[in-house]
Amino acid sequence: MKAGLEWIPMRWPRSWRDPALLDLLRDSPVNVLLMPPDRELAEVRAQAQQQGLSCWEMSPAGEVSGPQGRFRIVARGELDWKGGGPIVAAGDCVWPAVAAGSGASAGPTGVPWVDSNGWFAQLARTLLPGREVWLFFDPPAKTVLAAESYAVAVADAEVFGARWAIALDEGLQSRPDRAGPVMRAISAALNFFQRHRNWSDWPVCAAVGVLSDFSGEHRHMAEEILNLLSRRHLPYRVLDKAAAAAVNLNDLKAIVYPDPAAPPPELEQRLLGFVRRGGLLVTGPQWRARAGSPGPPDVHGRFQVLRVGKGRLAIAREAFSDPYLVALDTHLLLGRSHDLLRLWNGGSLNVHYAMQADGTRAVVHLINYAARPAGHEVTLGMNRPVRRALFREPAASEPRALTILPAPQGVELPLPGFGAYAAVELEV
Amino acid sequence: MSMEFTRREVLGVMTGAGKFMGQPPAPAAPVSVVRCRSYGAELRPAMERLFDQLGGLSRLVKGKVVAIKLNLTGSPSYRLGHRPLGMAQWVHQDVVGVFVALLGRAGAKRIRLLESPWSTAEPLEEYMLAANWDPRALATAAPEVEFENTNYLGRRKAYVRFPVPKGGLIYPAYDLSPAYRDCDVFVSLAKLKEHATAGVTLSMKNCFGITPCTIYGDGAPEDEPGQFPRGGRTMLHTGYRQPPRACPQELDPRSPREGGYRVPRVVADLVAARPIDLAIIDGIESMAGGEGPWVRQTRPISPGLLIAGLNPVCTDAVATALMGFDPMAERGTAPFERCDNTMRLGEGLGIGTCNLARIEVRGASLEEAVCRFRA
Repeated sequence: MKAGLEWIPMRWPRSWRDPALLDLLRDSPVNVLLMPPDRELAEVRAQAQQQGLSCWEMSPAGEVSGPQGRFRIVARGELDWKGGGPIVAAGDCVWPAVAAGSGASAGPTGVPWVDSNGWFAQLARTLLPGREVWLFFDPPAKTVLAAESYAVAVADAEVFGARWAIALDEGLQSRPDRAGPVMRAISAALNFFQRHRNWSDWPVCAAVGVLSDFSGEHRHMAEEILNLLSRRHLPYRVLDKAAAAAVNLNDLKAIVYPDPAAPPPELEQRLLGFVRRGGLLVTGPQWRARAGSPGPPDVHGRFQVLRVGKGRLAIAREAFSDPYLVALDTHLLLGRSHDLLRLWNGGSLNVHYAMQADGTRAVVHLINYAARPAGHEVTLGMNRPVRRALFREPAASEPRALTILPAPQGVELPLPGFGAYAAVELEV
Repeated sequence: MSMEFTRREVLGVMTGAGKFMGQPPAPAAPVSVVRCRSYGAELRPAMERLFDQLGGLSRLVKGKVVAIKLNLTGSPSYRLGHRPLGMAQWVHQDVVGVFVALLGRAGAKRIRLLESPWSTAEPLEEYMLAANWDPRALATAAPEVEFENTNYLGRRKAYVRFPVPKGGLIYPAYDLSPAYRDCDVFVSLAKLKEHATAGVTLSMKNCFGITPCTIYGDGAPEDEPGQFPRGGRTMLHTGYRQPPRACPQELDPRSPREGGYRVPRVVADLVAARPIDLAIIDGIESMAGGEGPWVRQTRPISPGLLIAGLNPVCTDAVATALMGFDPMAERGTAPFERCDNTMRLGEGLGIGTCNLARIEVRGASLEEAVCRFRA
């Protein structure tokens, strides 16, 4: 086992004192048990170690000690993007699901609000490369959750290359005899992502980049833009301002620069170069260089749009204050003809699109936060030719070949119904 | 269940009553029906035949500005199963494309594609792209094709007030985009569907969507029209609030606050205020049970029909009959179980008759072309 990279943690319930309960992990890749420093768990700890499981101590205050040394769970909004050990333990993450009362089945256009950690995992992996990202979140209290909800929780981390430190709901903690279906769903999802772990190393395929230092008072704004671009099914790449000089911008169509401070001159010139070559830069009124001819007005009049070279510079007339509007305006300014993918009946879904470095294979992850098949089947549209498409689910041993239908803007792939998660593997 | 008509409406609707009241009967006009099984190669000749049976397009559109209200209801992200939107709740892109091409050939000076897509100010082309349409194909199907989102003012300066002749049923007038005034020929290009609130949605109900959400949307301001659309048109459905004070207010705020009463009347008002010169209904592929996938227990249906006419009430009456319903049916009878009959209201306003005995059907007969939406 490689240090750090293959730890798969589960928070062992304090009330599970019977070593026989370890049988629930028999087919699971879980290999780390985070256990409270409780003497009454001594037998479980001993049995677990005999089974090859690593037992780490986790205090109620969020201190974890294990072979990697000690580390602390830090609220994700307070996480320092510099320094730290091999494991980044982010607390205060959300239980990934369609938010209660968000009108998932509302009228002709209702799209539900979704709670997800995916944007955070993608951000943390970019800003803290080479480190393992563990997400800490608990099932909602006083709620009976279906096994599929746990599969969503696994997928919402694994798809983005992070790990969920598994935690069970109160009901299962007090009635472990009912935990079988949930543990099987968790294991199936984890095993699936273990089998396809190469996917998490594939570069994100995106038309939009979000460039920021993701710190200070504007941190929330920059982070929420990521979250809300996800809800528009607009794949994005996180661009670390500190490493911007080395970042490849060539495959992007648009860059959002939301930081209130003007970029340093070198970065400013780099971004202007991106625009001159045909890109779109969406930024705030702090932007200094305004040489260019008037461009097409934006729909809402919130931007001064300038043509610069082959591209456009969209400068907000007022400082960014609403990340929803920034995500919306970015999409409108860019135009849907640049959508890399599109979903129908996918209101409860988020997507993550990654492509093998040689450009021959890609995967579109589909996380269904409703955790049950949609009322109408989902169709995936891709804006590029696809030679072969396979549909994979954690519970299915074999993939299913998908029908590829020509469409005005690429191809459409009608998908079978699925619950928590599915992946569409593409040969392109 | 009795219909909830006002005295004036009842008097107007009563067949023959106009003679005794000194009013002429509502006009009748022929309706063209063509069978067409697919949106493939047979579509263009079928549409040519559809209009030829009405005397041809040239006499109607040559040298004219033609505005076409499309039926692009709901979000483009919704589908009935895997069916593209044009195979279910939207008019099909190829019907639009062929129609635009035929208009161009017939000498139309300018062609404007109009719709007020729900709660958005985005360009209509973008809205179409989201449905996987190709707006470029439409833009190049004829010279001088334009797209306009009429859900807000856009680059236009002010809304235009359209008074309802005879005073109106719900509102005395409606404030609409100038795009609905600045045309010589107004076309409603609709889909053959049932509707959860209005029973059927055809060429008349399609005009519900000419109302801008900056005025009739849930997020419209209290005093003046909003700058951008916010929310749906619940105001028109339930009357829970009034439009901005600068716009025409309801005639009777004590009238029933339910969609089955209000929506048919608002539609009849709108069609009276902004007359439809040409009504076209795409019934080649559609859906039964409701107007969109968000309605429970909807299903695909393949009527294989194209319907057109110069009078929207007559056209909708024939279309309703082709769906297997009685276009004269009263409230409580299918498909108007929970609503009033928009066509009868339109007849009451003198727009046209829904009495099939007075309507000449050209092309396929009702008997041979009927496709029962409720088996």
